[in-house]
Amino acid sequence: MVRGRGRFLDDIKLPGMCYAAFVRSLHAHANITQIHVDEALKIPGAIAVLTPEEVLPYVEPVRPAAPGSSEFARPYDRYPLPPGKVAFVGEPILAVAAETPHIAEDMLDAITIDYEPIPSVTDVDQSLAPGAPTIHQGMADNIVFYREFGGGDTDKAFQQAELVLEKTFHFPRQTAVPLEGRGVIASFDSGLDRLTIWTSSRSPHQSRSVFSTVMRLPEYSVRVISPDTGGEFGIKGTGYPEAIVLAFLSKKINRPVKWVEDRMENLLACAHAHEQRVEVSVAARGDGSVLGIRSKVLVDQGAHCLGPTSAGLEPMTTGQSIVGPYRIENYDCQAYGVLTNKCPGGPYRGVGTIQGVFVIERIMDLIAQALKLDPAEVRNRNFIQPHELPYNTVAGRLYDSGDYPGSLDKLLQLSEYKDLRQAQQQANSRGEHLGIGISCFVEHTSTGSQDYHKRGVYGLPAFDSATIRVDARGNVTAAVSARSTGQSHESVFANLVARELGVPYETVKILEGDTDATPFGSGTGVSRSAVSTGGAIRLAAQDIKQKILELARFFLENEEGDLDIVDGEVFVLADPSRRVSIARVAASAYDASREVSLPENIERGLQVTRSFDPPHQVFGNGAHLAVVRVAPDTGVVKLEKYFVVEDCGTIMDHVIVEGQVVGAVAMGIGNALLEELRYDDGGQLLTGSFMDYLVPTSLDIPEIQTLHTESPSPFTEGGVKGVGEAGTVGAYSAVANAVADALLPLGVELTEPPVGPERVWAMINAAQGNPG
Amino acid sequence: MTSSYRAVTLPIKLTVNGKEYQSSVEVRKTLADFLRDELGLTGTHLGCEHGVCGACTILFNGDAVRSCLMLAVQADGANLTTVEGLAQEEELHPLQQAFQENHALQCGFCTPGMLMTAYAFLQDTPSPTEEQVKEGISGNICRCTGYAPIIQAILQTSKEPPVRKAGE
Repeated sequence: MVRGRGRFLDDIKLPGMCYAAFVRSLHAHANITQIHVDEALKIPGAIAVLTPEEVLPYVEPVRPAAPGSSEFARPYDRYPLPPGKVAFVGEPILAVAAETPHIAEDMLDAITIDYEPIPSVTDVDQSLAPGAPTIHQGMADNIVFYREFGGGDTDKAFQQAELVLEKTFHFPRQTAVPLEGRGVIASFDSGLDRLTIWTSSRSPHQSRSVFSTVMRLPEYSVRVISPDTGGEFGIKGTGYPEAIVLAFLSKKINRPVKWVEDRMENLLACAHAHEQRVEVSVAARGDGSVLGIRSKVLVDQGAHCLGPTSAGLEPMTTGQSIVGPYRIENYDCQAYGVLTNKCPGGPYRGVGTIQGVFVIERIMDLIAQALKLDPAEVRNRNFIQPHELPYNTVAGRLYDSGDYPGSLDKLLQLSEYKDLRQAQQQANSRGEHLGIGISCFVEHTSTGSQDYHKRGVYGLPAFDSATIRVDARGNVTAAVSARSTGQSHESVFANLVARELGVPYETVKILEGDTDATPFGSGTGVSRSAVSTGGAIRLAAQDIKQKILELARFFLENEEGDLDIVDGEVFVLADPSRRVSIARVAASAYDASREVSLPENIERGLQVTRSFDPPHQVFGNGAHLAVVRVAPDTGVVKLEKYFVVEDCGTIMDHVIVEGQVVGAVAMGIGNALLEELRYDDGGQLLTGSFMDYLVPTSLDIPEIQTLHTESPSPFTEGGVKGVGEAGTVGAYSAVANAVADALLPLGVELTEPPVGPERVWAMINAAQGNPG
Repeated sequence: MTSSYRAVTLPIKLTVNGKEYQSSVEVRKTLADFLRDELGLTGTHLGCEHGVCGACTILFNGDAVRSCLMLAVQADGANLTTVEGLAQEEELHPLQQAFQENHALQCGFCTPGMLMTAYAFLQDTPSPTEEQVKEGISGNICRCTGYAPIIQAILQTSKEPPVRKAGE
């Protein structure tokens, strides 16, 4: 990688390859009355055009939750190219193919589409209003997901309440913007009648399932290869129409064809996330302990649901996250996914959780404010205690392990909280605006099939797999269903295999990202790889180790005592001088040993495939603290300090965990301070470049001090939990709480990130009655 | 309109990573596309194609420039270094070594641009403070690392005796 020798999607060139581009909708909601392509096909170097009508007879529609199904998602049909009607600006309408990418873009300019605009809905209220235009045929309204859940007795909680808070929070639309955008190469081999698709996807096997379902092909007719991936953060999953269209295009012209999105396409039409309105009522006692919460989560889903769980992904995740690490026994949630004429919503690191945690962490601060208590003290009065774990929450989750008050306590020590508060008092008495924000959270990781079933989602594979093979010379390969997109699987998993088997790290190689070379499994996502792929690796390694020990006895005079393996050598525990190398043992499994001929009843080869389906989601926890300084005259927020206490169960690799946490905190800081996709009233995206959609630079991120603590999970192999998203979850609300704390003396109540200069300045002026 | 477009090409001659190239290049082709497509130097990455993210940074006569904002024809007669020109054969440049040691990359997509920016920065500012390093790489976006390990890697390199010039 540091040499520039990475092989990312756009670095791949196939013989005879041509290039695709997409004509995209200019309207938020419109009928397509006519498509004029003749001029485009006259351009020298133009190859073909693929229209919606050409694709339609050969495809199955993609439904929300496909290839699985969701009990709470309302079905409608989406086709790879929309026949007759577009539902958001940027929706792909047709594809072109040309000899060069430049000519493909020339073709786009030469194509004309006649539209007949329809009234559009660009926010949740418009979408739910009586008489609103329905976005998808066959649906009675624009509600694509609805579920009520909870437990206890909220009526009673509110009767007993000594403090009631009613708040509405607005969360902006954001998107992951990995530095490398999406890309696809499709190559149809007419001789083999087989498609090979290179796609920068984190889940090659699920991608293959989608291609196979939509294109009505058996899975053996599709091979998906996922090359080096330049960042992902949830967004490079499955179900994008462009990928399906490329497969068709390659079949139509019988040539390999490549498409790589540019940044504008990425911001306009990849996947958006995070836009929600959450209304909550909170009942609390006079001591600050929360009795109950009623919430209504309204997710602005955009025009479609992307990926297998997407219809319910944000509504449910946010709804379930609102109870946080707290003992809240009465809870009612109404969770909605609402369609609008905007870019479809999909996952983005911390999906749904960041909003739920934001809500409860703002509430904790607002209770503190109302009761004149320290924010840390309010949290302490509400935490689930370590001895209560495992703990079934009223929102339908089972927290496995952790010490939530302990994490906060460590944070207060790490940050020297008392001194910070004193320094804040002094600074503010000098007229400065210093703020301190705390966020405590649990975060679900590694969802298994049982948890999907609880959420009403079926047919979605939630297990991961590993095939470990020891060759005749004792070298080891582990082929896994996950795909690293920057999480260093190749070193973390190689270390795991080496440790479990007792062989040197240098003799282990991890294979990923090719459905022909790796066993079937869910792939990367939901902070799951350490648990599910790691779990499969552990199981396979244990089996292989047993087999090696069994074979080794033939080399050790049929020794019956206990054996173990260290540094690639099997030895007798009672007499370590009696030993044999794995290489010698492995040779016998392939009938390549000159010393030992195995009896006939011993199965040949040294190869095992195992899968692991996490029995429960497992919950990391953490506590973050941010210190900010706000300049009221400009609205500029400067992050001065940042502290993290993080607990992801047993840590597999400290360097990687630290990298994941710090990187995710930086991303969460961007979510809190900078990132916002904006649309105008007509549904046109206003933030189509990096000049408008801001992400953090090196100047935006302060030093991040971390402390790692470990509460092993009782539910996973090795006690590990996921960690990829925790940083974003904590940072979003810690930073916002710090800004809110700084603005408190100015009479501002913060309910809407991102809190960049423009919004902070406007909030200050609104609170002080100045005309904005 | 566009169907009347005719590909216009011009001859260019340039040096990249110490090697001379002559080519006839379409005038609308960016320098980044030329390096990637025609010279096969795919280490130079494209992250935004509008000059904000810095992934395509290369050295142009010694200066760090964004190769997505230049046309290939503008490089006629120039001496360029790309990330492929940093290492000497199998021996990594100290910056590359430091990036590896400090886990300064996760997905690795921004890394080539980061390395070239850091290289030019250290030529101009051989003994930087941490603040200067932050300022120096503030035009390069990394979505994975949160920047801290990158800053560490650059500071570590600056403390090592003397930075060998790329391509020498």
